[in-house]
Amino acid sequence: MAAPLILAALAVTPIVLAGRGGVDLSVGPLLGFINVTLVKWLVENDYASPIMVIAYVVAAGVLYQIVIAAIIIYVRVAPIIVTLSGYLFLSGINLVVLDRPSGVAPDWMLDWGSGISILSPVFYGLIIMIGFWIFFSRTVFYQQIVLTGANERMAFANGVNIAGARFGAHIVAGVFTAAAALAYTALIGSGDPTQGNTYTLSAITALVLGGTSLAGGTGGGLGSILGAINIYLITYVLSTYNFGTVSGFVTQLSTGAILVLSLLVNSLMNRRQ
Amino acid sequence: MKNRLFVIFAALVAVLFWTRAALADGLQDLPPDLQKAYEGLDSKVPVGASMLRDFKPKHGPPWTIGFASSYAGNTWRAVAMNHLMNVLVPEAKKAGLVKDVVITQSDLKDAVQIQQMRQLVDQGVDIIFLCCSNPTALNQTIKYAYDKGVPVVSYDGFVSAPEAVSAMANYVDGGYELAKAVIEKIGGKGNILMVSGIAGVNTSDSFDKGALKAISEYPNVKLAGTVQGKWTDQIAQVEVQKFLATHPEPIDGIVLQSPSENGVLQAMLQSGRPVVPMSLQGEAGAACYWRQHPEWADTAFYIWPPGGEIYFGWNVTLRILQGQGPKIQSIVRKVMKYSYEDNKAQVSENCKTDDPNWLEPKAEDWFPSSLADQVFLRPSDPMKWKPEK
Repeated sequence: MAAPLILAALAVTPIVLAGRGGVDLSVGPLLGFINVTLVKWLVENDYASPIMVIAYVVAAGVLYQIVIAAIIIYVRVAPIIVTLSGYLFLSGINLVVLDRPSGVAPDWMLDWGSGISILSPVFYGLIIMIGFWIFFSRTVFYQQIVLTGANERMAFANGVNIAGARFGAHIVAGVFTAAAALAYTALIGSGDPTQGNTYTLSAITALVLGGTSLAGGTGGGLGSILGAINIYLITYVLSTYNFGTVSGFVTQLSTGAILVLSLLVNSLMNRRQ
Repeated sequence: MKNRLFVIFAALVAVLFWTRAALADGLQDLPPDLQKAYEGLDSKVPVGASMLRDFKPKHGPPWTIGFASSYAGNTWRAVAMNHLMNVLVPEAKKAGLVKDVVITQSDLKDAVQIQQMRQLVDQGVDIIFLCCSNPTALNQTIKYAYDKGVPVVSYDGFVSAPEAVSAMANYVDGGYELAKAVIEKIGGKGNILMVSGIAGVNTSDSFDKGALKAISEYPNVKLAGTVQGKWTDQIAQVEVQKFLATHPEPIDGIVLQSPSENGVLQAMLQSGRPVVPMSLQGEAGAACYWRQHPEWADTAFYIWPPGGEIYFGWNVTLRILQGQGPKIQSIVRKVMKYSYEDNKAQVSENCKTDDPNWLEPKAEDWFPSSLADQVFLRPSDPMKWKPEK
């Protein structure tokens, strides 16, 4: 059940790592966009074979990220502005595509979300994507992204194609957002135009909680995974206690408090180095 | 290949007939006057025969009930929660029916609500009830609960899962009636501003659908614009202020979804424009203004009174636990009209126009036992019910 969040957190990670204030606020609505278009455009028109669906979601995620990356890198608009625009744009589009929660996930995916056992298809999908991340983080290309984020000038002086690294980071983000959208579609078994948005904040929280610096260059995927699991567990543990009428506020309050604490620890440790 | 196609086709036809039969089953079991409440209902609302007709809980009372609330951040939810904790639960505990109520809040996040509902099932609650959530996203979870012997009741909004029972008013019809009341008050012509709830939420969309239908029936009425009030007075106030500031043309009437009338009223007062007729749904601030200005409106409606709705859901929940057997998947009632006199009786003279409380119909009026007797197979008053020995 934490799978969409883990994958969304992983999606933001390379963009943040690539530095220059890079962040993707539109990850949530993009997830929602893929979810609703998958349900509305593909399933309702009977293009629901697994290959078709996976090809579509990855293409949609990557294509969107390429557009966003092009605006950020070549037009040089601040990432936060570009992705915020993307957030608003997609939020609106999602409601146009699907005006309210409805539709069904592809047939082969329907029982994925029933969650009877841990070893569900979603779990295997998650393992594959984490495997992909581990592979990705061993590549030279990943090193170039991190180097670009840590010190752009030095990276450039050492022959790193900075624009290429940034583009690549966005493309990888597109792939992971696509995977997150698939996991999410399996979870709710339908399409929902507004719910994706909530993942933006959670994903960025998970990322920061996992020790990735928003300034870029330090951190990594493992931290984001742990951060996402952590957020999930906070909600889980807090739900086991009966706080009665205020439990919603207690959960939010605790998530906020934990975030601030982790940021403090993070900055203290950085200062010591 | 041809054979296979034929088999698939035959299966499809069978499924179609079966679902149609099931549909007819649920609704046709109700008396004709009750069926009227279902007219114009949102087509996604399931009205087949309930799968809980023969449900029996695993053990007798007292039971543990899970409340998977999806949100707690506005006056409507606050009043409902208050009513639950201070009136309904103590009453049921006294009657020996309820041991405990476990409440979770998901803050409008479906994924969190799914997880919390599964947790409630795994913790061993006997039934789960929830309010106005996503109509499709919870379906797998509702099935998961059903398979483990835990039924799910949705009140103030439906869920499309066949295993659940929904308790609600006909909100499409409600939107229609409310819009019509405003239009008739302004003489059937003029500009209407619509203050919607939350786009993408089924209750809100149902209301808008009905309201737009009413507006389309009057050729001289023009929809000047729509804003999203998000069922929160402060947001509705800001949105209406923004709208009025950018639209100099006269607005003759406002069709809105409660809770937002307090905020919209404040926005109108601040704008210096005349306070035009708007749909009243029982928020106490606007009700106070109505008391002071009787000419402001002719009628008001209870469409989703917070206390009444949670009583409705709670009552259905208890009855299901008692094995009373709901006949149909969705128990639907019509919205309730009330007059200036009813309003006057509930609002004191020195009331305040920013009072965030609610006027309420009597619980017995909102979900009368006469209605309950007709939608359950083995009806009895849940507070006087005794387990079979």
